[in-house]
Amino acid sequence: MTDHELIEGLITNDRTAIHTLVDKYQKKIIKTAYYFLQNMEDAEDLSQDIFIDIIDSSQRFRKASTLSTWIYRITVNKSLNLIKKNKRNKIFHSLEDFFTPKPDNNDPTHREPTVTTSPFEENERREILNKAIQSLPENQKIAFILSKYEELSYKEIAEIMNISLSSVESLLHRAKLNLQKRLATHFSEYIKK
Amino acid sequence: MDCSFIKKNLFAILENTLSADDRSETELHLKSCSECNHLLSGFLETMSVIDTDKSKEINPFMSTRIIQRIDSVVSSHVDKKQKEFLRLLQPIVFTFTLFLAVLIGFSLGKTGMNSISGKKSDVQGLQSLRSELFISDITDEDKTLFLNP
Repeated sequence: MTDHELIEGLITNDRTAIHTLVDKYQKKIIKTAYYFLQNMEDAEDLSQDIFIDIIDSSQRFRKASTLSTWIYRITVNKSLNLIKKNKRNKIFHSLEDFFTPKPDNNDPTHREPTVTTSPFEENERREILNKAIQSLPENQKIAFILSKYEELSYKEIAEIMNISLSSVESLLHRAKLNLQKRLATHFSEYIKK
Repeated sequence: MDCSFIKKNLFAILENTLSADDRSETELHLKSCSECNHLLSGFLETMSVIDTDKSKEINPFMSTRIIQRIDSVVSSHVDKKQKEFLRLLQPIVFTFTLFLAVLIGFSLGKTGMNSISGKKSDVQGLQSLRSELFISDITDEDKTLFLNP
């Protein structure tokens, strides 16, 4: 089934077209969402919304870009929106925690979570990298994830982000500089300790 | 070469894009500087998380969940459309019925008027006939009066 036939099928809610869409793009959508969100459950939940969005807006698909580029664009936008929403919720919860009384530390049933001291635990490395990536400006973050995780070409990234090739190059260069600066600071501080 | 070169070229070392001279100098520096060694190994290990993430497999039952969700949303869309259609249809049917009722009322009224006007002409005919009869009655009466004293 070609992209054109797929889109035509999606417009009419054709079941074969919907199944083809899910089979063809679910891995790509879930993985891209995961690279942005760094949480598989969130990525899986979001992927359902993304598919519904694709079907709902299939009439608005302009044939100027490929279906894959269009799907990437929706996935990236939805993922970034969820990150923003989660951030807002986090702020709200931290405010809520601030105003609610803290549990009594003398309580024998209360246990502090154990913190691993090794800097090279995979989860900790993931957290360090994720923090560094999330601290990047939005455009640099998108360019970096699409390039390093998705291994897309500069041309594909330019199409998804709707920018020129030179802008992609510049964004990636700045993203790498920022990342290595943040990671170097993190590891230097650790070495000094 | 100093440590700042390593700090500024971590990605170049990772991606192997340093020039041959810089590469050999970097190797020399790393042999003598434990701080840069730690920094580079920490960076490389952290960046290796990307490869681990790339090889991560997705839930094999995910497609079933996605299809189910799509089906429920599509069917609810259809229901919504039907409800919307009925919601729009209701005033249209009401207006049409009202219009039809008015039309029927008018046509019935027109037929009624015609029949009344028809009846009127009948009455007039009868009246003229009766008046004629009455006149002849009178004349007849007069004649009888005249003939029979």
